[in-house]
Amino acid sequence: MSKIKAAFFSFTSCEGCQLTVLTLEEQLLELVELIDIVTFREAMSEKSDVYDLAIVEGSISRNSEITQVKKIRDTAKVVVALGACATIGGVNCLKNQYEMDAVKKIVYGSMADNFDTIPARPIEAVIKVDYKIHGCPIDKDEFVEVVKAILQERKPRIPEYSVCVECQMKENICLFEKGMVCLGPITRAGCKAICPTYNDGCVGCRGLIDDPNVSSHKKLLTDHGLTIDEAIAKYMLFGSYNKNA
Amino acid sequence: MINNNSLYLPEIARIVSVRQLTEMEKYFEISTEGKKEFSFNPGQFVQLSVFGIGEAPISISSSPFNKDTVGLCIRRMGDVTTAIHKLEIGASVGIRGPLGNGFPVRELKGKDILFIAGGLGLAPLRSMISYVLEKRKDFGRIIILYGTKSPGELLFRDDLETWRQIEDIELIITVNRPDKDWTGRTGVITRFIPSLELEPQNTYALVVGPPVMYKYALLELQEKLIPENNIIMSLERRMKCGVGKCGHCQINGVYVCLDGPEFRYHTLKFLSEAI
Amino acid sequence: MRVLIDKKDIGFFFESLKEENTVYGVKQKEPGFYVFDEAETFSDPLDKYTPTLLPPKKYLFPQKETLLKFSTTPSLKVKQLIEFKKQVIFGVRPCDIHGIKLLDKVFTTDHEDKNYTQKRANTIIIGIDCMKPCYKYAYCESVGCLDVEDGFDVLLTDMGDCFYALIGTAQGEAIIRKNARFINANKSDDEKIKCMKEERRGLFENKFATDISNLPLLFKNADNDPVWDELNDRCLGCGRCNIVCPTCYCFDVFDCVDLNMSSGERCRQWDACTLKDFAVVATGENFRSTRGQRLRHRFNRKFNYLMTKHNTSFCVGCGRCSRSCPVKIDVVETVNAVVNNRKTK
Repeated sequence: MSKIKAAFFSFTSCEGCQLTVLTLEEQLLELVELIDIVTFREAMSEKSDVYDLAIVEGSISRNSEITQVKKIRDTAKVVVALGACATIGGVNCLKNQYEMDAVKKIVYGSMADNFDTIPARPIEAVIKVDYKIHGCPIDKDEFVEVVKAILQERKPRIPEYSVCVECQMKENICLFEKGMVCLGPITRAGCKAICPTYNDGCVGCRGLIDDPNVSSHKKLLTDHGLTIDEAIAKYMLFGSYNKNA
Repeated sequence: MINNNSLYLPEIARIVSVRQLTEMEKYFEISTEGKKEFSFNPGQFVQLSVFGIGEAPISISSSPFNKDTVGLCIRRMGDVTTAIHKLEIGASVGIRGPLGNGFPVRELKGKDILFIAGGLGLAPLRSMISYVLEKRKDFGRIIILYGTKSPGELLFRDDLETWRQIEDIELIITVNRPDKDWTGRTGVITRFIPSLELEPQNTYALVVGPPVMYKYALLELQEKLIPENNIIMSLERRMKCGVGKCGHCQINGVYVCLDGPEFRYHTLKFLSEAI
Repeated sequence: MRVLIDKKDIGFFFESLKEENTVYGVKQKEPGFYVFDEAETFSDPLDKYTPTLLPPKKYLFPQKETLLKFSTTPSLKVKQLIEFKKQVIFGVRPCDIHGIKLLDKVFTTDHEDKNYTQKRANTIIIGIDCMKPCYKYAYCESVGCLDVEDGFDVLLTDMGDCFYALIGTAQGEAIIRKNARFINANKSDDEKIKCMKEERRGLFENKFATDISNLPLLFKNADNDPVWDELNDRCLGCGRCNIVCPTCYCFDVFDCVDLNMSSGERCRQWDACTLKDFAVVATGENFRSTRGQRLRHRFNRKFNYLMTKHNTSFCVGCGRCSRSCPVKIDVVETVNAVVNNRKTK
């Protein structure tokens, strides 16, 4: 059996998730035994237009990106959305709260007319996505898990439960018990609760669990001293993308 | 058959035959290759392993008189069942069991048996039907109601043909959505219960199918005055361990793996989350 | 047998156990928060103790453990893995001793789970008795778990300048003789302990509005109680209550293949019945699809289902779940709501 050809692509993002893949180090060497990486500009200068597996980082925030990502879908058998920008739209979607003309002016000033921008959206809003690797940045073990799942043709083991499960299993002190706030109770796990472990509240970068009890959680945040606006700002950081808008 | 020294350790077994039954279902015969005789009660199940993918509970479809192999009718649904569908004769799998209790075979002797199978529900019932046919004289009337959504989903067609030709089996097959070639009965299976003439005190109804079927089957069977003790249903739940530990298959106070998977209606009616 | 160990000698006892065992004791993680952890020296907070973030269950039934190892090439080989080592859990409070006793029941009833029982058989439990409520969430007395008669090898009671050590097993006696400096206790010590235990009664104000023995029937008839709707609105479905519970033992099982794609492990990991997907079946139906139904299941496991099966409360009153619930769903409040709603009917 010939090895699967994999290509990495970047849209609107910091490319930090691809950098995270590079930190796999020895595991990366084992991975390239299994898949042939043909395009990966963070790591190599060669490129190829022939690939089976497209690993796509970033959200879609320009019309030209729509065309590009559709071409990727046409070429690849399997498309993986890599990281929060690609899976849920990520922080790029914060701009969606404003008029696009105003956004361009703030960023590019008098040059604004030279740039195209559209409300940012996750990859899935444009093309069918087969696998999602959540997080800002992604968890590298989850990247490996998804590659294995693709090779084994099975569903990857990506938690559906909250960050609290992982956080509590690590025997962390709950940040709410320390008077802090956290989106962990309604955010999808898989990050090994890395932020709460280092005493920082979860910001929800992996997206919400299925059927989150947002109204109860919002009350929890306001009970812990946040104003409604502050609570909403917490949700908006990674949750700005509105697919109905 | 489950050994407490190796509660979670499957026996290695080999696929000795594979038969495509429908688009979604294949029938696998699995053998531990003489390492042990496979004794089980009709209605019991096994935990089937495809190593690297996982384990899934599968009911046994074969005759309990065949102790050399275990027959499993497997629908391609999740990861394990999809993985086993890709395997061929000679491939190694793991098997734990038999698990669960199975049907109360001894109690059923001398009784009229009404089998009600919806869709994949025929899989566990086929084992019991094989038993009853092997010991035909021990039982009274045999009525088999079997329904699927479409003709293409009918399982074990050669068995159905065999049963049709046996004189003292009353066989009713129906499909919800007939195609243009279908000449048989149409409509949901439970519709055919009212026209049966049953001797309620002497009849046992063995019912296996999707949850929605149970509700209607129960209504019709109660209308027929079949005692609650004589209505036996097999339940499907997620199972991880199969031995009463992991908690996934728990319905109120019972564990489907340990206490079932067959339950009498007079037990089930007190379990609020059962059907 | 009961002996006295001078307080200054408790460190010696603790450290001497380390010669042949891994010794876990109570350590402060941050002010006011404690964990069981491998400990250099005896650092138990004694009367300042509040229940550890996770119960000591983690040493008998770890968060994640390997059940099998397999390799699929050249031919399929499967081996079971049962890991254990000689260990001492030092400073287990009565609630958690009861918790371990319940796990003993669970993992030996119907089928023996060797992954648990082998660890258990190699574990020495040194308890420390509680003379006052450790925090406002505790209701151990209400569920009959304040007093503990067995389930420990040694039970220490703090008498001020010394510990009164009640020996529970032959193994407990052996380690006392081998590893501790002690003097025999006398009748007046026994009397003193008896008085201390009498005095603690009634100090536990957080309690159920009915006797624990009434709960199975009350819960059996409370499936449609409005309390479950109210909890459905509040519960976040985060699963923390399950994870911190000393008597929760549900688990998930999954395979993990190595990057060579041929060898791997089958593991089990703690699971939680309050999580959305816990009771989903292969066909996609979810038999407990709402948070309220899932919490009802959890409460019923503690006070009805398992209580009926094993004839003892499956809640030990440690209060960990009440403390760690972000939205403060409280066991005592919930149980009392069920009790009171039954009364008014």
